[in-house]
Amino acid sequence: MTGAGGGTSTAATPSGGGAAAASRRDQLTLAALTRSRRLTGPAAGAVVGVVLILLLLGNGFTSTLVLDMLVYAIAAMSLDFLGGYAGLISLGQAGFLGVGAYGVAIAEVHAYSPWAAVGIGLGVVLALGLILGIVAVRVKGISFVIITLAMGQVLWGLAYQWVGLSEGDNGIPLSTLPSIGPIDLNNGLTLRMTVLAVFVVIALLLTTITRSPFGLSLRGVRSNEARLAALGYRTGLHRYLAWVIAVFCTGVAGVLYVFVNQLISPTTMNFSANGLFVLMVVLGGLGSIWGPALGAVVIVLFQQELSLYVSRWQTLMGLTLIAVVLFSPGGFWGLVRAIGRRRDAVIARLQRGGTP
Amino acid sequence: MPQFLAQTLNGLTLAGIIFLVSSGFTLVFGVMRVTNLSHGAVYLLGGYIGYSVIGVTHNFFYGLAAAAIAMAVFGLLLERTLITWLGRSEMSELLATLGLIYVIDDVALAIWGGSPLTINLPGILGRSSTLPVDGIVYPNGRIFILGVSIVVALGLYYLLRRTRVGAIIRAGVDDREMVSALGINVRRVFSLVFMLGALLAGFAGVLGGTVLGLYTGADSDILLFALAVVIVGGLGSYEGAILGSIVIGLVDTYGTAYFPAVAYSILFIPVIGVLLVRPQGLLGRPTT
Amino acid sequence: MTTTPAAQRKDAAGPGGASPALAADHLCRRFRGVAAVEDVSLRVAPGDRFGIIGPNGAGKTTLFNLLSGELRPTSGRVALFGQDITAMRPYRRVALGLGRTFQITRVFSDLTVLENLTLALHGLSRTKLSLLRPWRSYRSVTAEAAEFAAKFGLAGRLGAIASELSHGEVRELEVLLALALKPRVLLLDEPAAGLSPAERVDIQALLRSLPPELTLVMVEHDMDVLRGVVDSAAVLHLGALVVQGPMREIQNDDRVRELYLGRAGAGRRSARGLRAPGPPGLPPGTPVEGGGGP
Repeated sequence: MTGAGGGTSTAATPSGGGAAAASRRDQLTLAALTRSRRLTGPAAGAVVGVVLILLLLGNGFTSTLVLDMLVYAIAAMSLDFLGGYAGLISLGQAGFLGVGAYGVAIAEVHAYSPWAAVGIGLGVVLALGLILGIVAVRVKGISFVIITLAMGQVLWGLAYQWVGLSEGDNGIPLSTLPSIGPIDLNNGLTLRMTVLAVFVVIALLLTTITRSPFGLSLRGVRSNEARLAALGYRTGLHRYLAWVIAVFCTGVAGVLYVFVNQLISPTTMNFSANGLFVLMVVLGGLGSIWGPALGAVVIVLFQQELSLYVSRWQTLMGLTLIAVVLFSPGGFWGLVRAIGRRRDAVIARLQRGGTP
Repeated sequence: MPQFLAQTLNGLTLAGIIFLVSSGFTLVFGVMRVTNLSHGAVYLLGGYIGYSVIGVTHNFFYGLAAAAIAMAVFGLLLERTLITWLGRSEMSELLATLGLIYVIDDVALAIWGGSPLTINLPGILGRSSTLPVDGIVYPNGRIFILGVSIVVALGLYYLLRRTRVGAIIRAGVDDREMVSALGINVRRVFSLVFMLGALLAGFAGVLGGTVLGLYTGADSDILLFALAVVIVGGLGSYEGAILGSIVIGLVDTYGTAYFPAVAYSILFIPVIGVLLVRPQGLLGRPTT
Repeated sequence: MTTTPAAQRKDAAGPGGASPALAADHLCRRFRGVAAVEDVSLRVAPGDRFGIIGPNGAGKTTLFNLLSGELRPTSGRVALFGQDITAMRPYRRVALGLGRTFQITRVFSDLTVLENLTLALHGLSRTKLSLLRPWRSYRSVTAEAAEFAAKFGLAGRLGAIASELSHGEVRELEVLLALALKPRVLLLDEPAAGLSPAERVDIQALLRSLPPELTLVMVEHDMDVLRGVVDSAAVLHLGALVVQGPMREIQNDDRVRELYLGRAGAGRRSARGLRAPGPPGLPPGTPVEGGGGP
């Protein structure tokens, strides 16, 4: 096939031998590219996984950093699920993370056992998500952003002002973490591995959902909701479900947050925190799940590392967001996808027998 | 009862400041479909600039003027660069202005520091008077702010309803393409509206600096108020901004006075209420 | 020729021909006092190819939206196979077998053709809420999507993103999306609008190849497309029904001629009869090739 296709090549081939050599090279290139297309994803995942495990084995500053990244990544991925797939960008995500964390902490303050506290924390987040979702799905687009921003701020305000419940500015420390059988989260290593495991589970869950018919329907909602409704879909229900899933996953991140930091305070839920999550998603790439996880890594590095060297790191962060929006709206994952598309085009051309 | 009257006046004063901020925000959205999240930061920046100018010139009104002019210029620059580069993508504009908040906040932090500042009102404005009603003693400054807000509101109303420019602006809110099809230079209208919004916000910043103070996070607070106003009043509606500001101003003030523990969240009640009953806002048009 | 194509289609419609496929009774729709549609009643039999025609501003689009459910009538009712659907929102009408296309094509532009069709094919089943199985694994659905595409001219374009399709291909996709829901009645909103002559031929071919049991109701300006597809029609003017009947009668109807040729000075002559801009030509009703029925 490649030999016969040589006629379509625009490059002059001096002799039959030269054409044969070129086509053999093409075949090798084609094989290599096709293999890379299949393997790069899983290979990268394996490498990253190993690196994470190694980093988490220690007990020092690095592992704490990685833990922060993982917790924030969960929240960022949830935000991407809502924003990149259903088209609903929420500026209130940190609020739900806070609710999950506060739920656990307040429950423990009221003498509930750690496991019960987790249940209560998740339960409160879920209930809040179910209730607020009814309001949230009534609006779309910019109005949705605004209403979620308001929600996030109100939740922060509650944490700040309802001192009787939340201890206000001081926050609530967490003393005991849950343990079940051999898995005692009070043990540092067990906790770290558990956080990693939860991260992997949620990441896989979210990516699986995005590939399901429901996930496709969310993309349809984002692409052309009116048309989707005309096709017989109850789009409000689909958006509501996406909201509940995203809020719940963020709540899980909140529970992990308070485990890792053993403290929850209103600062975790303030406006800046909400903006940071959006930043993570935009940087990483809206609509890719993995991209925002990477975005979380970058932002945490910005916050923890860059802040040591550059006192105006927040300006830098803001400028980065603006730059990404201006020049690479698809974020980091957008670049990855662009490279992937180039590779696909080359493969397609090689398969047809032309020159790459 | 006197307490209630004083709180009501406080609420209306707050409503005035919020109105100055939200009217600009809603007009910019209505005409340009731009959600300028950095609007709150413009308010704060204007307040800080006013503070510095007052510190140097010892003249409150120079401060007001400086803030207004500086922010108008800033608004023009912003519109001509960032907003123009971003074209028509609403979400991009929202995200970019979100990033801008971090930049403005950080720069302000670098220049003016993190401690809260207050702007002092000069002379008679700094004192209080006894009101004819119930003999309450009430700060003149707040009455001044209320008065100024009403004057501006009326002035804007006149501008929008009685002048040619205003008609163009209202038409632009209605149908942007049509306005440009009529041969009107839409670009200039955009710049004008954006500048106007920034001017109002900067102006409000100085006024707010007297009663609310200038502090890190004041921009988020005022932005939240403005957003609550546009949800209640309707995105793009000027009259909605007036109505919404009164509602939000009063609700927040009464809430803080009588239910301090949940004051911030009481704000939510009118917002959720409107969303449930009339998602486009009390005076907004049904979203296409 | 023992039976006309129209009669053949009626035979194919089978039982249930007693109640009309689509019926409108005294439909009115007012916008702030202005009547866009005034007292319009229609009867479309199963298997009919029915057109809704009229000059610009006649209320065709409003009537269309009343039938599809995008608009609620100020008064009157709409019935689908005898069932009153006046109060039903579009997605419920879809479930009952009423499909529609949109004039401003509304496909999912950032999704591939395959994804577009998959969304449509999942539309009526519970599987659209399935969370954990990859949608690609629903082999029957993807196979059906491929079949659809192949049968109606989009073979080989399954992987193309909808925004990359040509205008005509997008129109075809538009029709396919509506067809994927297995409608019993299909409403088509100016399927040929804005298409090049070659593309118009394609669309007409697609429309003619639709199964005879399917009832078609079409709003269209282009007389050629109409003539090739439609048996009977209703003519609207200023929101009111002027005449309803077989195409032949309509083309010869004096009132219709007056509408299109206009009174003195306000005449509207165009080759296809019903489009304002366009080359002048024969008024509707002038016998052309094979004028013995569409």
